[in-house]
Amino acid sequence: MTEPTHLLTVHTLDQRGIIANLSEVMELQGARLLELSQTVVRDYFTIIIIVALPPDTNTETLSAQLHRIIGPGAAVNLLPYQTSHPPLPDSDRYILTALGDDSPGIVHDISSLIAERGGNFVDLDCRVAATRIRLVAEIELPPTVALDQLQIDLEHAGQTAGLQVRLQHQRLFQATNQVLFRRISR
Amino acid sequence: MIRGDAIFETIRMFQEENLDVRTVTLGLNLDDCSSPSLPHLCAKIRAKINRAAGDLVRATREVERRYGIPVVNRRLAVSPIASVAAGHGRDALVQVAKTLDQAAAEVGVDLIGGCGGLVHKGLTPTAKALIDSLPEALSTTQRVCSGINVATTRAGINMDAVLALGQAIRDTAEADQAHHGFACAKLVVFANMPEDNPFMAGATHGPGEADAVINIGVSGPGVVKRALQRLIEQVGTEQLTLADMAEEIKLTAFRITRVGELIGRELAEKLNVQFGIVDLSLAPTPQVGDSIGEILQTMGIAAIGAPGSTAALALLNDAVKKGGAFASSSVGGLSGAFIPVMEDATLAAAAAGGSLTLEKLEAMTSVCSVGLDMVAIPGVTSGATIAAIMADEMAIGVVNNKTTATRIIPVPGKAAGDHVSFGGLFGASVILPVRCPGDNDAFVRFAGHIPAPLQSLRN
Repeated sequence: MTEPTHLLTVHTLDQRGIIANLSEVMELQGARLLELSQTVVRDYFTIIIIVALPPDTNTETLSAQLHRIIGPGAAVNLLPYQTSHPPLPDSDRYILTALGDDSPGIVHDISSLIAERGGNFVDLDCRVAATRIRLVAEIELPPTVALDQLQIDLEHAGQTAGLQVRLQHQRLFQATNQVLFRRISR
Repeated sequence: MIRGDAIFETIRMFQEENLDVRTVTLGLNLDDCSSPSLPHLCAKIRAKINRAAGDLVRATREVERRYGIPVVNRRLAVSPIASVAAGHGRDALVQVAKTLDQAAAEVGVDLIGGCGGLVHKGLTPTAKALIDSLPEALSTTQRVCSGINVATTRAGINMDAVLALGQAIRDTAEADQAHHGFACAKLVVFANMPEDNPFMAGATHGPGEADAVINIGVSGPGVVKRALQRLIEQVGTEQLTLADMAEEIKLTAFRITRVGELIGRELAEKLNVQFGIVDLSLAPTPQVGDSIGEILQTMGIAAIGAPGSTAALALLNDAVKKGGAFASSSVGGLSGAFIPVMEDATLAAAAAGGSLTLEKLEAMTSVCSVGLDMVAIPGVTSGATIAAIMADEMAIGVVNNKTTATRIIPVPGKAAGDHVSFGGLFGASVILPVRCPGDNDAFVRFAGHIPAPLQSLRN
């Protein structure tokens, strides 16, 4: 299996052709794209790519090439790949949702509660439109977590700020939204 | 991660549209409790229920929290008591019912079904005694429900049992005068009774089932109604066809069924028992936004009972079954749409307004789940007339190879047009008139057996 060597992140004003240009430069360098996640947040294109570069790659030259092809104003970072802490053993994945009035510090309040109980955000999407906030996160929780209490604390934090916060096991959403849903895929 | 929109759509079903797991029902075989000694029989029943169901409430709460889904009721369905208590007499059967009531209270469930029997081909002495015991058993207990199967497509209709039950229903209402005959709401008479129905009052743990089984009843008329309303808003009535509505109902039924299976399988695993079935039955409550009548109104039937009502209900019932069947291989029970008049505020209003009559209800039951359900009739209606109403309903089930049932309440002291209220989920309704009462007595008093129809000869 090809091991990752570098992490490439790019943020820039969105425009057509960014991925085509990026991938062309990477291909010319002999890079292999191993994992990629891209989204547009408001007007900003943002991408994170895990790559395997040939051992003789000059990363400074590659960065400069990437910068040049994407254009001025872009943030391009090419960092050595490091392994993270291992995933929580036997952890369960939950979906955290918050919907309601936006208020300063609410994301911090919610994320702190999750962090205090040993939870880890693995995916997060948060949008504010006018005065309303909509947050959806996928969270890993250790099996020992006192779920009742965490749910109560999250609901309480939300109520104080005018939000409805819910924490529900992700299998509920798989079951109701995916045609293929098997018990054994747990 | 699943799309945010899809996640919020699922949450909306629970939060705003009254989707819930209506019942978690533990089916329990009590055949191994049989004993010629009444104290021994009762002690064994109580011990087995406590052993098997002692953890049901706690485990259900855990699953409820994990998924953030409300589970409204926890219930028990036991083997037909007419078999479990074979050889015992009427008074002993009342004691058995009281034991069931006590055991249900001890494990924290609100209803226990199965105090009935399968009598479609004939009545055993115990089954006869059980029918005789029902007025006292149902009026002196809180939680005990009875389901009695009097007909099947293969066997025909046991009119001896129908006649006896007509009188038993009348006597049960009289015995429970203080509560307007509410005890009758705990007695269901079936044709083609399913062995795995989780919904009360007709839940019985059939003889072909495993020792202990978790069956799930999910509901959600509000979700279906809102889905149809959104479809109409999005597409407009000009473009929309009934086939589009059927597709939308199927999709909604699919999602609801999946919720039920998820909960059921996890709970069965926690309790270390078999998972049985998920029964997606659109079971209304008197709450606004939780009504079958409102779905039919959304489909364009302004006055429930008016021409078109039966066709609309047929479409709804069929689409629910198709969506459920695609979602899970473990769909069972009744799975369709219930039309319990008292428990559905819109149906009750249609009955009060005169558009929904007993005869139209009977027609509608030929295309949906169950039958004449929670129908209040005048208290003076004779046992024979009640039997005749039941015989009509059983005939629909037998000939059409489907389940039908009756849950009829002859309300003591009340006449057609009066009003009765049982409160809570049991709702309220006007007393429906029974046309030509008494004119049918000669027919049902012939009793005996209505032979099985030609459709029974399938081998």
